[in-house]
Amino acid sequence: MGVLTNIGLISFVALSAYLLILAGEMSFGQQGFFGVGAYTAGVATAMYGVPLPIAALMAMGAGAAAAFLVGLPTLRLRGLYFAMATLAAAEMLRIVFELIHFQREIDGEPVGPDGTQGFRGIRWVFENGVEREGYLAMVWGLLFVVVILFLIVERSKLGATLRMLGEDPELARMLGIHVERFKLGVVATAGALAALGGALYAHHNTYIEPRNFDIMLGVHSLAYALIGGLGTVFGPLLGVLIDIGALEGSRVFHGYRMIVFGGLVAVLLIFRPRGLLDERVVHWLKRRLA
Amino acid sequence: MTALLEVRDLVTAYGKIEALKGVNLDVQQGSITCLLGPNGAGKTTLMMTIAGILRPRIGSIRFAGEEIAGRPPHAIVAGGAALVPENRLVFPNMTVLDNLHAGAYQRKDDFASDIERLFTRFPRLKERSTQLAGTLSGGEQQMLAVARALMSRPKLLLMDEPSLGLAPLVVEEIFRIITQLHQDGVSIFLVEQNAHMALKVAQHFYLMEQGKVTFSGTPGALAEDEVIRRAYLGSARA
Amino acid sequence: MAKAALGLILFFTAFPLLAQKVQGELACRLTKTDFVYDCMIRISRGGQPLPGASVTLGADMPSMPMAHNVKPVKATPGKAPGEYAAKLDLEMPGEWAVKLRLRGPVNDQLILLYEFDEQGAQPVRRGGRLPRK
Repeated sequence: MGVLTNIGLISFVALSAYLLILAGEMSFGQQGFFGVGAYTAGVATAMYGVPLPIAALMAMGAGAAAAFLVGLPTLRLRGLYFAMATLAAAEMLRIVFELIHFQREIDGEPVGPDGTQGFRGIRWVFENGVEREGYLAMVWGLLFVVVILFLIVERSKLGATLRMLGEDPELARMLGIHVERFKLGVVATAGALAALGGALYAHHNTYIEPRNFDIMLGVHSLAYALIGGLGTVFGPLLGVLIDIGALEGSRVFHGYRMIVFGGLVAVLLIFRPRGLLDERVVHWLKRRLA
Repeated sequence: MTALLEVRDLVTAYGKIEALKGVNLDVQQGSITCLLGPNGAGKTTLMMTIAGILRPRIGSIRFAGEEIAGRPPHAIVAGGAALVPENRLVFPNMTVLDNLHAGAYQRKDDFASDIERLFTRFPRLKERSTQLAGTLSGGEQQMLAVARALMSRPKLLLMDEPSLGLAPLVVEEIFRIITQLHQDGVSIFLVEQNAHMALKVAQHFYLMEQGKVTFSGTPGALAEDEVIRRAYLGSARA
Repeated sequence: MAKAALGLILFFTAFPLLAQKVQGELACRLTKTDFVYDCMIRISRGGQPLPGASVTLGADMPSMPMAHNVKPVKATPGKAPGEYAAKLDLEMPGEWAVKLRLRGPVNDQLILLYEFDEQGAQPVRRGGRLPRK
């Protein structure tokens, strides 16, 4: 069950990275917005008694705003430079988390982010009697909604525009797409999505600390999208399933899983640069099913 | 005839290097105007500047009576100019149909009938409408790029070397399409290296060398110019 | 003085769970199998041992959240009240956030940060002080 919840939670970050790849941008920084979401929602529920659903919305707003602000200067950069700038931004966010000491006395106990000591007692789920099964259903329910939204968007003009930006932003620009404005919107949406995952993670774990939001998470979420495939929203989910579900869940590789995972990413990038479920496979499947 | 496009004293630079050094030319309403010139003369730079991809340093571009120099591409597409770029023809991982839809990005009205009409004009595209554009042949991709540009119902079609790298038979087909479009009333500004073909369709010619227009005249004048004939038409008389 | 005492008593009876913080402590020893630790867990509430709870252990690495899925194990009651025992099968040495899911007399979750090495586990110190339990 823990595995299932983890798969659900990490899928939010993976989808957030996937959304950006669709628009042609590789971000190594989605973990930063995941963290913004985790801290925002944690502060809201644990310190101010805000119900989790509203706190999650607040987290999404904060994640979108943070991503928008990071996107404003970094979207001028291309390719590798954008990737590095997003990584730098996420590391800056992590250091900000380390510096935040913001606590309130609640029932005689200080509650709130305490720098590197972490942020304990995000106990909304327990205080409201939500059982593990209930929370799992909540995480997967939200993920289901997100996936449905992705499917709707992929079929719409919006989705086509996204793919145009991803495939050839210059050509998209020539066809009259306001590339910069559109990308800012994508960046903010991806930030909100990662932040939603962060909010859910904080309440699943009851404890967060700045180190949760370091580069490991960012690299993994990017890798999930890349190995799973960029042709459909199910690609990144497949990526998560392969890593967390199969490699980690089975525990065959024990401590060597990271090596196996790294090797898998390397092999796939050579033979299937756009992942297992890439556009061609998805196109073939669609024609098969149609 | 009135000028649909007027380019005056246009200078576009990459850093310190001026690719366009004060270009002047006109494209008349309803005409096919052809721009010849060697590689590196600045032809593509001119197209990119007109389409708004590059910002000019100085100079003026008037299109349909409005100053458009320095405007962003989406504003220029909205104004009614569509570019068929060189080498960057299609979105390879999108279907032919999706590529056509992409051309209608700014349109809010129903364009289903436009697609039907384009499919009658380009039957090959209809056959392949659900294929990924990357799987088309070079000529088909060029046709798709032209069809996509037409989806925005442009007043002016900017075509950057449509015959580049295509087999002679395909080139002929492309030029047949250009003639048809012209008969339908679309104004066309064409950059071409293939002067033989261009001579058959265009009403006015410009020659560009090292960022400047060095010749302007009718097909007849072009064919009689000794220097141009040697450089662009070979020794044989056109 | 008596008034204050009365007030305190009233306060504690009114909010027994909130006022009496549940705390946990770990003592672990590496078994003969690599990365498998024998752990003794001490749970207390308001300083008093808390027996009769159902305790499930999980673990996560703070620097790789969600990436490690240590199968949750159920602890068995130990010799003394408030003591519980469990075998923790970790994937590698290093810092782990041990997650204690408590049910029964309390419904709560405790996160204990411990550094696991060749001998056993020590609470993690950051900035010279122990993190609160």
